[in-house]
Amino acid sequence: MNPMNRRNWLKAMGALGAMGGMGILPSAPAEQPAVAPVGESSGFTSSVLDPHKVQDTQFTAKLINGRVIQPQRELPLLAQCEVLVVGGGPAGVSAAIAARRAGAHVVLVERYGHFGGLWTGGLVLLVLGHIVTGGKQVCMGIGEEMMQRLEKLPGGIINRQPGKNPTVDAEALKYVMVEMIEEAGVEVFLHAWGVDAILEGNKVRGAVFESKSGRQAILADVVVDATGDGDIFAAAGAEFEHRTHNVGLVSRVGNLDRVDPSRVPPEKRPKRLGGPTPAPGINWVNLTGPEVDGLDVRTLTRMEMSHRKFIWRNVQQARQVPGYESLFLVETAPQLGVRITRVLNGLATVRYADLKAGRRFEDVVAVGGSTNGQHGEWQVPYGALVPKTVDNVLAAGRCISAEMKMADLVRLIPNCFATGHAAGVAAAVAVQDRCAPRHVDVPKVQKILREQGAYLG
Amino acid sequence: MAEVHREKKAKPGIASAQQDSWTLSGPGPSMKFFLSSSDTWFRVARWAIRLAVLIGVVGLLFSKASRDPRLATLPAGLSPSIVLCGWIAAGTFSAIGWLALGIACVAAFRLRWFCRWMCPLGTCNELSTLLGKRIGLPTPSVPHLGHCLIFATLGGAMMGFPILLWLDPLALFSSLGQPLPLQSLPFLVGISGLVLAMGVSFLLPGTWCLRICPLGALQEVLFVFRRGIIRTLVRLFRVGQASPSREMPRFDGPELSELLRISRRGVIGVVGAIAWTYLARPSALSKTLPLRPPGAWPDERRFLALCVRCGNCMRVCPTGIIRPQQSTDGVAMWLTPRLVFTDDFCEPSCNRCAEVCPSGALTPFSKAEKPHVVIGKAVVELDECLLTVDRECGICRSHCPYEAIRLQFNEETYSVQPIVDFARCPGCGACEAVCPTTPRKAIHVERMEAVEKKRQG
Repeated sequence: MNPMNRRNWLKAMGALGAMGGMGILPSAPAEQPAVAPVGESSGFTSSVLDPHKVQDTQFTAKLINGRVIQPQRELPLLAQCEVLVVGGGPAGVSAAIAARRAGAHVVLVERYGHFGGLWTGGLVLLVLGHIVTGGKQVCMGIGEEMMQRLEKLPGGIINRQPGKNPTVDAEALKYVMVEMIEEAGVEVFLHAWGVDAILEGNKVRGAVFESKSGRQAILADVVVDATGDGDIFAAAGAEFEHRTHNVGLVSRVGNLDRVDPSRVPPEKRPKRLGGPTPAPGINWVNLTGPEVDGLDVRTLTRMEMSHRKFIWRNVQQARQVPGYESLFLVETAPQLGVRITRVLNGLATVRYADLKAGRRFEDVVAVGGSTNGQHGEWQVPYGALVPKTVDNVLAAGRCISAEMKMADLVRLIPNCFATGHAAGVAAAVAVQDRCAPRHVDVPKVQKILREQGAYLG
Repeated sequence: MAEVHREKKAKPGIASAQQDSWTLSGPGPSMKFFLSSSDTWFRVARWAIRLAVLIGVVGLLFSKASRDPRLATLPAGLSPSIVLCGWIAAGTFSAIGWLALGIACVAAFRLRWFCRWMCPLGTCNELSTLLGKRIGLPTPSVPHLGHCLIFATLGGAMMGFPILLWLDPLALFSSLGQPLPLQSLPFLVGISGLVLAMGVSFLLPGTWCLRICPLGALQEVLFVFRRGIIRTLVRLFRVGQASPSREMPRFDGPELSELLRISRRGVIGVVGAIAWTYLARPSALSKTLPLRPPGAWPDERRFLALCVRCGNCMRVCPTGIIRPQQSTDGVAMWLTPRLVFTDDFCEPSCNRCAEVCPSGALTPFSKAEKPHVVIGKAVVELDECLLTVDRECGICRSHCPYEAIRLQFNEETYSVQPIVDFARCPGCGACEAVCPTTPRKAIHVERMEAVEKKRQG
């Protein structure tokens, strides 16, 4: 047997992890590859890592006088970096790649096992919101690069014509994002859920994560909150608005190419079977759902279960229509479609009046579009990413500072990758110039954004 | 005293010997009131003033200043007949009304003073009259319709329907300034009273101003009544002084007969107006009526009667949603203001249109009252609504300034639909303006009559 067999290798890794976790290895594991190499073949046997393990219960939650108390404890340090991006959706992935390309040491943490957030895991495959009057595309940069890469993949994207809203394939996009993250050299932790901010005064110094490895901390100079729900800036005490919105669940249905249109009675044609995807015969089906609080776990549970029942029923009903007998439910989205929850009250706010007036900001860092080219472009001032009082944290994606009327535009995918791109570059510049993000040299940020292909009006 | 209005032998342009007495006699429909002085310098000076006024009014109508609510009322608001009828029929009286009353007072002492010095339509008419004369068109003998018209309008005003108020020269002239796209400008000019009046003045020289114009007729009526009453009183007073005998004082005299003649026309006019208001009452206004600006009389017939088509409301509207009715489905509606919510809506803090309405067709209201000034109610067409087929929308809700729309989730259909709270909705059209469905808007404002009918049916 090879002296470095699988068991030994895992042991070594475990020890290394434990040492790192206990803070014995203070330097960040920057040399480690972003994704650990898959272990060598060991057949189908499982290996015992520790035959008599009993976990220390010193820090386990205790029931004291009927109240559940979590003992105070020191958290193991998972990593240390310059820019920490929490959330791997369109905004987070763009932010991480942008900051890395701008020269920062970046860690990206995502709670699910894939990148793309609602774009992939939520199966929101239609890219809405990047075109303006006349069909011009305004959301460019890293998101546009993703779509260009998708074009090169078979079945990656459809409707990539000027002035149209393309639809992507979720799996192709997950693949493209892995590729881009690896190329950029971003350090990644998947299956780790950002649950808390680390504060020093009014400065955010990192974030705390829950994963199968337990509760761990990552220290960073600047944190980009791309959680969508503003989990980190909220924990850091930044001002925000707590909103309700419709919570739905997207699904995909298949065999639409086998529907015989000649047999379908026009008045009975099912209306709620969504729109086409790159996969032939498969549609993605949106669901609006009721307006609820997307931060309430009971609500989220209820939504998930109730939507699942409806989606199944909807497909079965459609199958009753002559011609639709072979229709089937491919999948429901792994992620519930939460649209808006927390929205930052930032130094500046994206306003509808500014959209109407076509206002241009000196500190513009992102430009957003409309769903179908029905209005012109609108600009995101840098202040919309910056909390009023808390330092070292920037919002990106749907939780940036925007009034209610703009929230439905801000939350759209292309606008998320545009604001994510901006937050990533701004964080890198703040690290480079050793200043708080609120004092960042915005013209410098704009210059780098333009160099990275972003459109700023 | 000579015949007041029916002298057959017309010698246009020749000042009669009685000119300085400002009688109503003399050459028939002629240039008498225009060319009443032989003093060249006097005529030159007057022409200079008239042309200056004409240019000034045209400049005002087409300049940006016309959008200033303080100036926008001016042309039509200065007409004593409009102000008087608006006060009688609608009970509205604006500050500028006092100026109009001043003009009326001067006209009561200086016959047709306004026509000769100020009226922009009069200046245009006179130029076209001179042209008609130049090519040798004869001056016809036309009965004095104007007296009947103004009495019919005043009589109608007492019934609430000042039927022919829109013939007022200042209203006809103001209508030129309606904000129309260039391609429909020829249409507007074609049907506007300006071309009609100038055409009549050309073919039947002098007839419009002297025989049709209700404002000219009003000035004559005021003059004749004033002089008739004063002179009769003076005579009575003198008779009483000169002959202390018991002889009955004499009431008859040339002034009195003139007064009686005009009164006879007045009776004809008033009886005609009353007959009209009764006969036309059940008129077939059953078609879908256009939306009117805020503060409009809910009774469409009364609104049509009160509206002088001056276009003031359209000029001052900051969002440009008040457009002239151009459809040919009823001559009665031509050039009346209608609301079009395709691009924009009625601002919650704006009351300009009603402020500048000279005739009381729009009842003025304060900005604070605006939420309760009902234009109509927003009605949802579920068949068109994107939400019912789970397309990303709900934009109507976020854009409603009155928070009158909520998105209600229907457990049965498992879809969301906009519900309009009629108690809050004043029909501002914000929802209609942003609704993305084409060609029919899934949410649109309907008049109260239509809403009530739907509610009952």
